[in-house]
Amino acid sequence: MIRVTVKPFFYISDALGQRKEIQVSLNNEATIVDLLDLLRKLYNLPDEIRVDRYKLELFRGDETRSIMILKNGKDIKSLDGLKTKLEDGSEVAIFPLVAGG
Amino acid sequence: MFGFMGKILRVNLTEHEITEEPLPKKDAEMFLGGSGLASKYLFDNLEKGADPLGPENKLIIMTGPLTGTISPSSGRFSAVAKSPLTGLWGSSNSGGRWGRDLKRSGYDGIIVEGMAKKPVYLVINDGVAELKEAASIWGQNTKETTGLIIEELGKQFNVACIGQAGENLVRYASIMNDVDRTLGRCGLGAVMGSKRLKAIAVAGKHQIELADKEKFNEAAKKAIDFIEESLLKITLEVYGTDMVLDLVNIKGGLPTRNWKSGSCTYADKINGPAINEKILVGRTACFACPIACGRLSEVKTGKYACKGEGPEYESVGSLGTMCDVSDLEAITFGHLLCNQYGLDTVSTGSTIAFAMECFEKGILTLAETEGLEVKFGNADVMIELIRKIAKREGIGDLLAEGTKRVSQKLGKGSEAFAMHVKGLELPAYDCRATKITGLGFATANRGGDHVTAYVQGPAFLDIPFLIVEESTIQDATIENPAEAKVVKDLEDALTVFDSVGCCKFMGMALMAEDIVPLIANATGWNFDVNAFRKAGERIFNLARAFNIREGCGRAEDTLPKRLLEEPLQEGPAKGLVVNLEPLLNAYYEFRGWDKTTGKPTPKKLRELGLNYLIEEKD
Repeated sequence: MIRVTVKPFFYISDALGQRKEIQVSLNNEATIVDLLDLLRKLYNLPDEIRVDRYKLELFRGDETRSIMILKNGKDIKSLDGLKTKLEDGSEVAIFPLVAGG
Repeated sequence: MFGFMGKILRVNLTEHEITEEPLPKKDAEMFLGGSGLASKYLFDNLEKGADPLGPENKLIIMTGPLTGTISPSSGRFSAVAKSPLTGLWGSSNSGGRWGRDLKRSGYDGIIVEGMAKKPVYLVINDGVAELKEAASIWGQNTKETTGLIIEELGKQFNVACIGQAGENLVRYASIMNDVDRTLGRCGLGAVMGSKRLKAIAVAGKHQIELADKEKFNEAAKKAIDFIEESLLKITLEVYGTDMVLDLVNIKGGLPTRNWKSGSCTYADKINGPAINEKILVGRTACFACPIACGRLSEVKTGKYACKGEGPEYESVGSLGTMCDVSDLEAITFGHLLCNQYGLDTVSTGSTIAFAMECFEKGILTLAETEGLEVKFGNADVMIELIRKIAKREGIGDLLAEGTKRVSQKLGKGSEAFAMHVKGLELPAYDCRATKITGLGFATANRGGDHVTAYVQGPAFLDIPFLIVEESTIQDATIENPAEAKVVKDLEDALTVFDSVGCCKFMGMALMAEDIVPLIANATGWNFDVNAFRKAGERIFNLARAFNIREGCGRAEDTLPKRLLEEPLQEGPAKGLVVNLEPLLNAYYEFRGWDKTTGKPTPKKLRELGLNYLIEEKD
């Protein structure tokens, strides 16, 4: 088993009961997909959340929507996407898409 | 003249003379308005080598054809002058309602030239302009100045003004409008101060005539509906611009301790949610903006008690993490203090952070700081330095010159960590973490700036910019020369926004096909997507030609040594520096510029209808 730290931000944190950090255990071969499955099943991360008067879709089937996932600060897009493998001690940040600056 | 008021006001302060001239139609079609048209005036009316703080410089304030219309986020206007900070093309853009009110007063823009013998302010009341004596308001801060002028003239007036920093010729002084909205960058407040022009108050009831009102309204409604449903609104309205701080921090690109580090340990104390929880008392929107990214904040008690708009992400980055100040109340106080003195928060915080590193390294000593311990993390010192800079007191007199000049004066290797490009202090995105952002900093005509290309949007934040055909950045930790085209395309497209009078945030959610009908139906021009892209490129090349004329070329399209040679020591960007040259080479190729000199080629200038620059730019 490996231990992975999940850091949800903004609405994702709200949807996970205001948690700022979650420690989870996963199989040695686990990927981001397995982690998201766990968050959806065990922590009730919904497919869609409400933000103010808007609906924000996080998942559609097996695909992610409107969220950005980083493993150790690197966007999984530039790694292996949802198939990115996790290791013991990996930190996974989950952001809704943000704008500003 | 549809979309425009058709008139420009020329104010010669030396002669105490105000004249009116028609807006040149052909120039408007070529350069659109706003920053573009103002740049055309500046290029044509300024001699090479002009003193930015001398009477020969011109401060040109200009609205665009969309300013003041119901087009979404069209409260914007620009000011252009030769910058006292960079010695190059200086342009700044602001929101609020002042741009709308300038148009309602009957004018598209104002050309301020010369230098008054005594402080004055300009009043434009429904088509009638006059200069008034400003002795009683000279020396007041921007908030007081605005209040005093409104008290004298009436509530219908809207004020743009400088504070003490502009009066004292701080090279990065801002011009404030609507109290807390800012023409922040490039030191245009110092240009205004050098002319002894304290403020411009505008009011009026002129209407903007549109070429096809029905079609315009239809296009505006469609655009507003898009924005209303966009992620842009959901995120910016709720958390404001500071929402990006966590993501930038996690990616290891949040400049901390004068860019010695790319991440801070106290993000949760100063991020968007922290502002919401601790100090937010309301949200504000510029004219006709469906988003409302503005924050109204209040620190209720204590030594940092204050109330006003902000802080924006850039203020949090510069006055906060760059100085290693983790106290949100101190950052907010410092941000509002900058607004009141009329100081650009980015350049102010960045220059203070630079001083802190110089102090740490013994390059700046207690003797020079008059006993002030200019240490990272000291919020009170950060605040005290803001005061000293605005008043040019003690060490503040040196720091008021900006990072580049301070480093040149201090020497001792400080140039390597003087975080500016072309003299303009860098914003809070460390491009060692997202390389392409560095290309944007290096090529922006006004110097180290993040909103010229806004490429940190796709690179750092993964936000697509629909305004260009392709904005995807695959892996921002790698230099990919093919992606230099994204920088070029974004620079051109966003240049149009500064020229027509529309917020660049719209460029994330709207396509060129959405904006074009707004411009076409406001002005009656035969304006399509191709014309949109060409106009942006034309204006960008014009500003480049201004810089070339001042002796700036490829050698100046660079980054501070720290970003090129000093790898980040920690975080996901650990070990990375920016390899700029391949990106620059590709960029010049996409631009049609000479790779050796960085000059636009005659072929490119002809293609853009800028033939008259071919001789002049040399």
